[in-house]
Amino acid sequence: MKVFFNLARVGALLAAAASLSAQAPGSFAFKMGGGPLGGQAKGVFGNAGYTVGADLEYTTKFGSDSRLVYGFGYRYLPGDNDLLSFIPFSIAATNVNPSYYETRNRKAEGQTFHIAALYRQDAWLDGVYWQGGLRLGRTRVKSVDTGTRITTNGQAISNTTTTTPSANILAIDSIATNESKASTAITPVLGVGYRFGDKYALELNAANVTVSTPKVSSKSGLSFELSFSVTF
Amino acid sequence: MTIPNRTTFTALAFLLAAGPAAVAQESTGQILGSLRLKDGKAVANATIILTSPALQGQRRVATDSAGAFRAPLLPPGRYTLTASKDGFVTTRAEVELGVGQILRQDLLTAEAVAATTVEVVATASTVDKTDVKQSTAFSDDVLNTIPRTVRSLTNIALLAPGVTTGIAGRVTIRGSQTTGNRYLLNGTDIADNVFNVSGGRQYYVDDSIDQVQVLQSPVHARYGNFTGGVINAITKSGGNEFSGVLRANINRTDWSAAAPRGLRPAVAPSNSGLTNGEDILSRTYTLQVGGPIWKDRIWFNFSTKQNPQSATQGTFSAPGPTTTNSDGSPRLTLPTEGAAYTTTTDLTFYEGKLTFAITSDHTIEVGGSKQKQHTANSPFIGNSYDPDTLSDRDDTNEYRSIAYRGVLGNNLSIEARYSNKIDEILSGGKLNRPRNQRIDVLLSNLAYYRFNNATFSAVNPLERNAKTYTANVTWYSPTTAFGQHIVDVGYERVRTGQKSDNAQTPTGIRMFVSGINPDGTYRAFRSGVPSGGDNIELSLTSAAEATSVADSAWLNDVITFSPSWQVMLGLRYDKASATDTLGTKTISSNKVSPRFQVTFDPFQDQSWIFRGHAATYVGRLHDGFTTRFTYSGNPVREGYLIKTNGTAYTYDQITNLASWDISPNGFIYAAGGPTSFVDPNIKAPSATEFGLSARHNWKDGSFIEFRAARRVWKDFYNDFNVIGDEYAYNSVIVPGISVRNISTRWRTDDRVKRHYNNAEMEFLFILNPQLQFGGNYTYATLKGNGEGGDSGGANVSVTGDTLGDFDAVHQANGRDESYYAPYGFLAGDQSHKASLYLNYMNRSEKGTLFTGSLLFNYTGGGVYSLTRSTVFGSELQAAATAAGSTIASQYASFYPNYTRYFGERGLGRFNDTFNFDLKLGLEVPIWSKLRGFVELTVFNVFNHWQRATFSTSTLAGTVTTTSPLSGYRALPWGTNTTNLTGWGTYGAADYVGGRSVVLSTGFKW
Repeated sequence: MKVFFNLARVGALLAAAASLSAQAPGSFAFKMGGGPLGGQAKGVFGNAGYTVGADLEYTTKFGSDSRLVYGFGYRYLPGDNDLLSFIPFSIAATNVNPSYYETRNRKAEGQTFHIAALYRQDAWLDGVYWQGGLRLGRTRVKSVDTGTRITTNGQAISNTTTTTPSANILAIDSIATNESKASTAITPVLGVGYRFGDKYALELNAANVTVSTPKVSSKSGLSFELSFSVTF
Repeated sequence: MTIPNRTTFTALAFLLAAGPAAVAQESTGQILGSLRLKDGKAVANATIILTSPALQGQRRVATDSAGAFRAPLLPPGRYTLTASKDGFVTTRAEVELGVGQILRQDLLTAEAVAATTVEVVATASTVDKTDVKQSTAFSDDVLNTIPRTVRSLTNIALLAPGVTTGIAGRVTIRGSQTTGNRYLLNGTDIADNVFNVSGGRQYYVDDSIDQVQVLQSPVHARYGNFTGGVINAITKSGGNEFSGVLRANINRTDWSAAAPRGLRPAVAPSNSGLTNGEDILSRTYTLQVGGPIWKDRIWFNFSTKQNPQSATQGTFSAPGPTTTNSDGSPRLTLPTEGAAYTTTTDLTFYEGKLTFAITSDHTIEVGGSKQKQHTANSPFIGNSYDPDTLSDRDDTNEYRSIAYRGVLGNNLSIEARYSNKIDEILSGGKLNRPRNQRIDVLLSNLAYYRFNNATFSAVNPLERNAKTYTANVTWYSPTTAFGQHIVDVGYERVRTGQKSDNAQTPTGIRMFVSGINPDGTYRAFRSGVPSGGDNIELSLTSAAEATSVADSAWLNDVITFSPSWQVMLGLRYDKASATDTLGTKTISSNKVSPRFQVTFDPFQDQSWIFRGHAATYVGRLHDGFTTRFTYSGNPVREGYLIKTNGTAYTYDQITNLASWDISPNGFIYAAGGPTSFVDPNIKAPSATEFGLSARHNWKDGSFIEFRAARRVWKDFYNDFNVIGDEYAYNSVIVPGISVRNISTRWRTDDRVKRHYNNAEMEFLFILNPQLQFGGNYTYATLKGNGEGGDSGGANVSVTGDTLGDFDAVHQANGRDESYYAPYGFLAGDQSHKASLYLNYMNRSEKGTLFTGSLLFNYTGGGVYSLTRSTVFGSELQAAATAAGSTIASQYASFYPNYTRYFGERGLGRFNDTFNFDLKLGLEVPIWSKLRGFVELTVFNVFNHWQRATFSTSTLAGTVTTTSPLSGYRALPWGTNTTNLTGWGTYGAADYVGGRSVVLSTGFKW
C-alpha cells in the first residue's frame, strides 16, 4: 500500500501541474532524451557510456527574449558487466599462506534525481535558443559484485576446477554483494535548442556528471544529451 | 476493406491512440460525440450518418436532447461522420477507429442562412473517457510502416509498454507468469493448451491482420481469464471494393552480419550459415484478397501461404565398427548405417472470412483457417540406423468462428461469439507395416538403437482444442439523477481439452533387448547383461479427452456523473473446473473479482484525464496444469522381464507376449499415470492491481500518458512433498502387484510471492502531416520468492515451486528459506524498456507512396541468480528412515538435490542493450488500383554489436557435500586461449545488434 500512496502523491502532483499549466503565465514541458557519457565516470559503469532520462520543466518569461526554466529530472546511468578478475585454471606456488584468488564481476548502475534552474535566451536564428544553469542532483549508484573467491595455502594447484576444499584449497566462498551509495552534487549544464511546430523542441545539452560508488571514490564526466521536448 | 488513398499520417495518428481504452474479447469499436453550435448549444434530433469502407451499408444514429450521439459495434476502420438537420449546415468529419476503442468526435454546426452547405470539421477525435482500458493498439497502417516483417502476437506485443520476455522467451505482461496471458484472434482464444501462449501465425497470414490490441490492464469486468494481459488480433473482413496484397519476403544469410566471437573465438557465430560458407535463401509467399460478394451485404476475405518445400539432410546413426551388442556379441549392420536421408516439409494454409450484414445494424461473421505442415521422412528422436524408423508427421492447426453483433435501437447492443481452435499432431509409427513392433536394442556403447517402426504412434492423433463461447448485452442509459450509465452484462465460457495417449510406439508396447544378431534375431536376457534385465513395457493408453473449463459472468457499469467525474464499477464471477480422461471432475472452485475506476476530467474537454483504479484479475487453470492429474499424455506403464535368457529370438518370438513374464515375479517397475494429487478446491491464481494515470490530449490528436501500477498476485498453485506422505500404486495389468510411492499434492499456496511495480509512459506526437513520433517507456520491478508454478523452461509447462518441498527437512538441517527460496528479482524483470519510432509517410501527386520508419528499442538486461545444486536426497532418506518409512531409499532419487541461492534471487543482471531498426517502403501505381511495392527492412541498421550476456555457468555437476565451506563456484577459465570457457566469458551468441535485412516485394490493389 505504501507504493500505492506514493503513486497517489505522484498523481496529485501531476494533477496540480496540469492545473497550474492551465492557469499560470508560464508553461510546462516534458522532455526526454539521452546521449553519450565520457570521462572517468564512464569507467565506473563498465564503460557502458551513455545516459537516458526525462525532465518536467516549468518555464516563465524573464524578458522579451529570455526565460527562466525550473526543472525536475531523472537520469538513468546504465552499467555494463565488468569482469575484474578471474581464477586461472592452474595456479603457480606463492608459498604465501593464505593466498586468495577471485573471479569477480561488477555491475554498477546509477540513478539521479535532480532539480535544475536554467536561464534560456533566444538566439539570432528563428526558433533557436541557448541555455545554461545548474542542476542539484542526488545520484545513487548500486554496485553488484558476483563471483567466487578461493583461499589456498600458497601451494601450486594444477587444476582449480574442484568443487570442494582440498589439501591446497582451504575454502571456497561466493561473492554476492549488493551495495549502494548516494551522493549529492551541483553541476553545470549548458546547451542549445530549437523550437519547431507549436509545441516541440529539440535540445542538445552538455552536463557535468559526478558519481561515487561504494567501491570507487568520486569520479566526474561529461554527458551530452539530445532531448525531445513537448510543451503542454 | 479498400486501401484508402492516404497521403499523410493525419488519420493514421489516431490509430495509435493508446491508453484508457474498453472491452475484452472484442472485435469492434465505438464512436460517440455531440453536435453543437459554436456557442455550445446542443443540436437535438439531428441525424449522424456513419460510413466506412469497413462498414456494410450506413449506420444512422440520432442526437439526443443534449446533442449527444453514440454508434456502438463498429468494425475498426476509417469512418466519415456526416451530421445533418434541416436548417443547419451539414458537417462532416473523418476519424480512424481502432479495435476496442471508444472514440469521441464532437461536431460543430451552424444555422444555415441559405442553401445547405457542407463544412468539413477539422478538430481531431480523441479516445473517450468511457473507454476504461489501459491498452495499446497497432493498426494495419502502423504495422505496415514500422520495421517488423512478421505479425506474430508476441512480436507485436513486445512493442507495447509493460511487456517483457520471461521464462523460455515467452511473453510477460505487467509482471505476469508467462502462462498468465490471454491470446485472442477476433476476440476468441487461440493459445496453446500446454503453455497457454501463442504467436498466432499458424491461424492467419500477416497481411490479413487489421489490428492488434495489447491490453495491459483492461479494468472492465468483461475481461478475465488472465493475470497478466490480453493480446487480441483482428483479421480483415473485405469491403465493397476488391483489395489485396501479394507478397514475397526474401532474406539471405549473406545479408546478415557475423557476430564478434568474443572470448570464445572457437564458438561459431549464431548465423552459422556464414561459417559454413553457405548463403541460405529464405522465401515466403503470401496472398491476401478481400472484396464484395454482394455489395453492402456479403464481404469476403481470403488468404493463403505458398512457401517452397524445405528440405534438410539427416544421417542415420553409425555406432561404429567396434560397437557390438551389449553382451559383446557381433551385431547386425545395415547398409544404411551412416547413410544420408532427406526430410522434406510442405506447408499448406488457407484462411477465409465472410461478413454478412442482415441490415447495417445486424451482422454475422463466419471465419476459419487451416494450416497443415507435412513432414516426410521425419526421424523424430532417438538413435537408429534402420530406415523403417523414419515416418511422416502432420501438424494441423484449425480455427473456426462465428459471431453475431446487433444494434437494438439507440440504447441497446448485443454480441455473441463462438470459436473452436484445434491443433493436431499425427506422427510416429503406423500399424500394418511389415514389422509393427518397435524394438530398442542396447549396444556396447550403452546406447539404445531403434528398429522396425518409428517412435511414437500415428494411430491416434494428439489433439489440443479450445472453444470460446461469449455473449454480452450493453445498455446505454439516458442521463438520470444518478448519472448516465453504460451497463454491460455478459457470460463467457472457455473450454479447453486435450486428447493424447502419448503412446511411445504404435502397438502401445515397448521392448528393450540386449542385442540384434547379424541375421536379425534378437538377444534378450532376464539377468546377467549390462542392461540388468531386458524388459517389455506395457502401456495402458487413453486417448480420451481431459478438459479444463472457465465459466464467467460479469456486470459492469460505467457511470458518468458529470462532465468531470466518471466512476466504473464492475464485478466478475469466474468458476474453474476440470475433468480427467475418465470424465471424473478433478477441480471445481470459483472466485469473484471486483473492478473499480474513477476518472476526473478537470477541464471537461478531455484535454487532461486523471484516473485511479483497483482491479482483480482471475486467471485460468490452464491445461498445462490440469492435465497433470489425468492420463492425458501420461499413460500408466508397467515393465516386466523376459521369461528366460535367449540369444536368438525371432521377431515373432520376441513380440509374443508369452515370451515375457507378466506376473508379480517378472514385474520390475511402474511409471506414468497421475502420480500427483490435486486439491479439488484449488483456486485459479489472481492478481490485484492498483493504478493511476494522467493523460493529456492535444487537439491535433497527439497525446502523452503517464501510468503507474502495482500488481500483487495471490493464490498460486504449488506442489507439496512431506516425509511419510505416501500412496500405494496397484498394478493395472497384474492383480496383486502393489508399489508404494511418494505423494505430491497440489494446492493453493499464498507463501509464493510475486509483486510488480511500474511506471509507464506512452505518447504520440504528430510533428507534421507526414511525420509522427511515438512510443513508450516502462520502468518496472518484478520481485518474488518463486516463479509460482510457472513454466519450468522450454518443455515443461508447469513446475512446482521449491517452497513446500520437504520444508521440514530444510529446517531440521538449519536452513531457512533464504537458502532455497529467497526473495528477489524474478524472470521477466526488466528495469528499463523503451520503444520509440519516427514514422514518415508521403504520397506524391502521381500516387507514389514513400514510407520510412526508424524504430529505437531499449532493452534492460534480464536477471540471473547465483545458485548451486546441492545434495538433498541423503537428508531426505535419513529423515524418512527416522520416520519409519518402508521406502526411505526412494526419497534419495525422488529429490536428489535442491538449488541453493547465494545472495538474493536475481542478484546478477545482464547488460542493457539498444538498437535501431529501419524500414523503407515504396509503392508505385501501375494500372488502375494495382500498385507495385518494395519494402526494405534493416534490423540493427547501425550494426552496433553489444555484449548482452555472458556465461553464468557454475562448475558442472552436483556438489556432493553440504559443507558450508563449499560455496558458489564460478567455473575457472580454461588454459586454451583460443576457446576460453567458464563464468564471465562470452562468445558470438552473447552479442546482440548485428545487422540483418529482409526484402519484401509484391503487388497491392
